[in-house]
Amino acid sequence: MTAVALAPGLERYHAAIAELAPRAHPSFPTEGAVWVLSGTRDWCRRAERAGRDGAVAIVVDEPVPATDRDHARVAGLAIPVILSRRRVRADLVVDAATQEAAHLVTVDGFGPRSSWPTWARDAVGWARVLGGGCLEPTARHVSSDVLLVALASASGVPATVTCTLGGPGSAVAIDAVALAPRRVEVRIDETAGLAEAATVSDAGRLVAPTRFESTERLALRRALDALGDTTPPADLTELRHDEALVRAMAEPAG
Amino acid sequence: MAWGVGVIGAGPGAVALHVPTLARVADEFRLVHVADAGSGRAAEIAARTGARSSVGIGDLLSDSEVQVVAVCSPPAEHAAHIRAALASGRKAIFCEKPIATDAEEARAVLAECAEAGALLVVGTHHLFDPAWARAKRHLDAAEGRVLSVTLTLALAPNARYHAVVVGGATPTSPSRPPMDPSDVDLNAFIVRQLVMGLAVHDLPLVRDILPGLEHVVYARAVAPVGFDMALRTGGGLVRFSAVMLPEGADTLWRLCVTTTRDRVEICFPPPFVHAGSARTTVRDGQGRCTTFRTEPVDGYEAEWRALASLLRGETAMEYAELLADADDVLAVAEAAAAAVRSGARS
Repeated sequence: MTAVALAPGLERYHAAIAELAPRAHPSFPTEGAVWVLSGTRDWCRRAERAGRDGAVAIVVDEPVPATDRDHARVAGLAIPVILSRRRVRADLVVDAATQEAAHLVTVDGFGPRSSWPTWARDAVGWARVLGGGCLEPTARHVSSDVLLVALASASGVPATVTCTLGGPGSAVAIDAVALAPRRVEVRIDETAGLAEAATVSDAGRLVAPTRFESTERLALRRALDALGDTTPPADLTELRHDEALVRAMAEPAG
Repeated sequence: MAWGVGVIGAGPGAVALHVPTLARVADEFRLVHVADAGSGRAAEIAARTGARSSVGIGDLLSDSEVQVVAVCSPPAEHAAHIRAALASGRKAIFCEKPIATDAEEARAVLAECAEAGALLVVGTHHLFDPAWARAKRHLDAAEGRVLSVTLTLALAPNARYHAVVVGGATPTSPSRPPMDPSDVDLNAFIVRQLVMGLAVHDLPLVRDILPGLEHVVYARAVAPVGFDMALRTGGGLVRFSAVMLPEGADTLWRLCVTTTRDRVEICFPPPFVHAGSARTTVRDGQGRCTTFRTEPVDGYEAEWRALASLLRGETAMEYAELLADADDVLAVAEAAAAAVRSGARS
């Protein structure tokens, strides 16, 4: 049984701990515990400190964008770091994964202007997932309402991410499509509470089963699983990739 | 009495599209003559429809029963065949897209149509889809500013859809050479062709809501045959991506409009089939999601009905709109081809 220590303001994780019994039990922040941190500003420093103070794994809930230098602090930790991104759930990523290389990936994101770097990062994340790996920008466009970046993977898969900025009350929506004979369609719609991955082939449309596990339980379960793994989770590497591209999207034209 | 139609061309556009579509509008049009360039397919069509057939366009244009000329020949011949129809005194023309393969020719042939007072419908069928008119009414009424338009096309092989509208074999179009990453000029040529032959269905819709092309942000060829590009137009951004696939999933043909008020998604049916209008869904800022009722009439039937409406004098010809659409498509095609060349060399 693993101790799990929650930072203040993360009450939703109490239910996740209960739902993972007997693998987990609540604890104070102590050595040997999995620490769950809020992803609000300065999360990298808090994660670094948790690592120093004896956490065996760290879960960061909805990390806000940070600088690459801050990310590097966390990357130096020798413990598993799980980043809970509710718009790029790890289980949905597995559902959407395909062995077939896409001919083209398109991702359309929409959400509030105020938090665009966060949800645009998640839109980029889907381009990475469906494009089969790291992406490099080849062209971009920035206006007051729309940001677009054309990308290509190392193996030559082209991808395009278009982010349209809405008003303060806008809910985030992400539509991602991997165009291939076996097409993958991912739809995230926070208004509808929808997170869906479908595969479309000449046999028809197959929608992956609804994932009823909460994002908190999923993140915590992955942290517990990672304790016994020799391969560290790729969450931070992927986040750094996605945020670097968002920064590139927003750079003033040179 | 239905208007007599003479179809120039006997390729897939005639066999799998306009000849079967004419049967859906038999209350207003009847096929009386089909002409080909010597393939023999016109005779096959004529044999099963009771129409006459001929080789070349002379006999068709001399046929007194031909009141409407349908130009379904290869795109490079469209302008010449429109001119021939005008010269024969015909005042009603249906032309498959595009009306010409360069802007100067398009302007000239439209001016000649206007001078002759000829009625002309161009087969950009999405523009005629009842779902677009309904979506456009919604966008106008909502008064939201259009921020972006995205178009995503993953096209299954046409033969799959020919098979549901034709009983026998369908002629195949000449295949395009495959994309070659090292041949920039070939790829630019293919992207130009795809804009004129494929994007032409949707660029008039884009121009409807975001008129005034500013520039092409980027364009690139996509294997096996396709393109991916972004345009700045009318103060908004358009991302247009299309891939023609050799097998697999059914066609996805989706247009999404995001405004300051809501998001409108239109899913068009695959080409050639008659499955009713496109499906439109509107998601507003309050979380409401509304799906509009689909109509039994599709864009193919609606474009012929539009010509009937012009012939009856119920609607007026808008040559300026046709010209603006043609100019826009050709400008995008040229700019996209240039962007493919410059992008590859940068």
